[in-house]
Amino acid sequence: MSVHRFTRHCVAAALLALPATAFAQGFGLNEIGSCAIGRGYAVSGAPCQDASTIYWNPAYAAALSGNSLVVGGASIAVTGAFRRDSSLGRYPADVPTSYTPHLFFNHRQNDRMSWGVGVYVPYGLTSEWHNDFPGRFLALKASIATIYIQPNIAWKINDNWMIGGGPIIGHSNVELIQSVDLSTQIAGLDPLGNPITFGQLGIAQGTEFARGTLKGSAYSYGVTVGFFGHLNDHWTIGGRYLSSLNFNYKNGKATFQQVATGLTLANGNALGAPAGTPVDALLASQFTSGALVSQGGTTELVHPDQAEVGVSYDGFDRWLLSADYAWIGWKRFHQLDIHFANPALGTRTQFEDYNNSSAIRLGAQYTAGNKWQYRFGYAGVATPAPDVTVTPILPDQDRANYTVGLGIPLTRGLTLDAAYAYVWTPGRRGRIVDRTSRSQTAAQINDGVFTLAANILSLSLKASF
Amino acid sequence: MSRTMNLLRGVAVAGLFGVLASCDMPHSTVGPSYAGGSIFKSYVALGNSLTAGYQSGGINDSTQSRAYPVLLAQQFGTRFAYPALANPGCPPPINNFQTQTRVTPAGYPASTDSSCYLRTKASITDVLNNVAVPGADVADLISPTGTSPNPLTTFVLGGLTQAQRALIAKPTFATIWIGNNDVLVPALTGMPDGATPLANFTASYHDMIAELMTGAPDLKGVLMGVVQVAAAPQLFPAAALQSLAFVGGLSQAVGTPVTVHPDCYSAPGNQSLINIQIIAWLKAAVAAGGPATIVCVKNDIPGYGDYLVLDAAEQLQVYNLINSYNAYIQAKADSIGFAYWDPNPALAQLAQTPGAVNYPPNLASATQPFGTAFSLDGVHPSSSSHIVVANDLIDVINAKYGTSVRHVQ
Repeated sequence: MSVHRFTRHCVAAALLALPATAFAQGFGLNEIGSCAIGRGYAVSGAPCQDASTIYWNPAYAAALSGNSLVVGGASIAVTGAFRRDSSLGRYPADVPTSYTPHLFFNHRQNDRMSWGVGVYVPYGLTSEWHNDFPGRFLALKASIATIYIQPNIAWKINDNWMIGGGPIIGHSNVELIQSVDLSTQIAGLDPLGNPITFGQLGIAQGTEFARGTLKGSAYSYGVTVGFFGHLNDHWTIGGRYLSSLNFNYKNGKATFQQVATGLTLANGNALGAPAGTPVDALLASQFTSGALVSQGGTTELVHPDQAEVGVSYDGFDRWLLSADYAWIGWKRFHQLDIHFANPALGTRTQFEDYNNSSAIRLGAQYTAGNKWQYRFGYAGVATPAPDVTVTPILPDQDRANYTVGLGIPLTRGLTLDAAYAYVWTPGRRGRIVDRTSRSQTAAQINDGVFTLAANILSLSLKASF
Repeated sequence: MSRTMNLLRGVAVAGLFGVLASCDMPHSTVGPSYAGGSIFKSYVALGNSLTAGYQSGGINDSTQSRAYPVLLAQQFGTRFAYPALANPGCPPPINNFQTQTRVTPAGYPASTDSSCYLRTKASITDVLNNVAVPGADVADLISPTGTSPNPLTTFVLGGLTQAQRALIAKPTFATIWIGNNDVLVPALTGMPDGATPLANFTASYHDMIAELMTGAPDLKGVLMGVVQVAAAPQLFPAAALQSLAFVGGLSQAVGTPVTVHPDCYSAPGNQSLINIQIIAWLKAAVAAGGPATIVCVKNDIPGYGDYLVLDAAEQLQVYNLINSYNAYIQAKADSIGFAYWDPNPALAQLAQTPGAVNYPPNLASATQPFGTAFSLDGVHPSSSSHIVVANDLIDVINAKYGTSVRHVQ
């Protein structure tokens, strides 16, 4: 009875502590193991009984018996759109379904120690838009695919407490495809030596005359640690910390392709060209001997650190309830600098100015008499993106994740986990133009509403032997 | 039973999670509102200098901001971007009628009619709502190079046509005031045969409307008729030459005594309209060794009495042509469900307002020679007249579409 009273107080306290909503924010991903997804990712204090705990709580691997193998993946289908104030146009996103794999193996060496390895994707992003999207000058396609390889050792301090952790080897690929706007290019100098842009000569903003692609890859290294303990017969607690990894994409390559503008100059134009001159003809040399020849490009991207702590309670017959709080250090995502080898292009800076963010994750699991497990979860995520950094690259916004899952025992040592998650967002005002100065406010440059939703399916095959 | 209760308890917990999801989301998703009604969500204005905001022989951000489409958009409560031209302008407006000097900020070289200070950086946008180009005639709205292009064509349109730029805004409402330049210069110069023939005018107008309506099938709006340009105060009646004071003013402006040919005092010469630009023409004529004489009947002095003189027959020719233009425009408006606005009654009413229109111009005034209704070039309306135009249009729009757009105060 006293346990139940304590439980009620804790649940109430947890609910009162909820932020507006919270979860995998920014370009973070949590689709790492179907059991975890089904339970709303609230698994650091109530780890799944499989090797995926190497990610979710590296300490709990010490509690697994024998050998545990988990292999699986998730499909992430994102739908989204941008509705623009000024043109009333609705521009749907064109995001292909992404697939993220996960693979974990754990071996119990002895009563105290286990070792293993995990391969998973904690950060990733693909945003892609159609060719007529007016925000394509910020991003027609932005893709980050980062995979972490984590050797892990877990140590049981005593029957109730265990710790674990290991190094992280991260490999990341980035690809950014942007349209290039003629109106922002320098057409010449005025008598005082000030640059005159094509826009000042009348070329409309959003006149695409080139398409640039930047690709790069990089390695980085980090560490993760965790702890897990039994508070009493029904309560457990656990936590993990994953360090930040800073990827420096030094070997990037930038290529540019001319895009026909179809513009024709009228008589008396400020460029001094004869009437009927195609603008494209004036620009062609830029791609053969000018600033827009293929060249090197570098950028740097931090994958922030994460901390998560959770508790679980199994005092109700056949039920396991869990709640986690997660924190992600997005404040380090301050700005994105892209350096081009050609000095004429120089460095392009995108101000991000993210904030640290937190998430609340709640999970429940019911184990039926036939060993089937039914899982439910909810995760509320507060976006780290400020109002002024809601862009086509990542139109981040608060998210509510509703999850369900199923654990199906196939044989004595083989289980199939399945999970589905629906990611709901309220929609958020954002911008499709560069923020050229930190003095520019959201009210000044936001020009529409981004909507976003995702359907996530995950399957994991678990073997114990 | 116990198992069932446990299951229900778990479901209740999951349901609670769902309730949590409905917690308020702090980020605004509210877009703009349109005070005038939803048909004004995206308003575009097509046309020529009248719509662009040209005044006093020039255009800049200041004159553009006072143009009737800007006033309309404010009353509609809708976004309206125009291609703002940096101060002092492109070209800078005349600020003294007598000296013909143009706006010149301190520290700038003296502005001329060929000075141009480009677009303001803040005005660079992909969705332009005022796509009107000074000098445009009806064929220009769908021609990339234009039949009457000038530097402003590229400054405003950037290599597209007015129709193309207007459609980028996905317009829901449009005002189209085009056709004045098809007859204006021929009328003002006394050469009305140079006006766009009716067949050409209607063909171009048809194609322009077809392109717009194809691109925006649900478009609503107003087609605006052509002004009876012979009523512009840049043309003064020959009868004014009976005034010694007026002729004295002309003489002062030309810099030599001006004589008036006797044909100006009797029919048909006394019915002619003379362009005030005769001052500059006489200066040139005198410089070339000719007499400083105003002739009101064609070739009563060889080479005189034709250019810048619109005789009675030509006035009728212009009047009838504009009436034909307007009959077509009105029928076109009816056929596509647009409202039609005839500017001529409003201008006629203005002419009756004391001080609004000076016939002939007050040559002694440096700042209001043509009256309060016209700017210093005697053709383009003043800021106060743009308000009149906007309010007239609002009446037409409210009557046609049942809206409740308020007048400009």
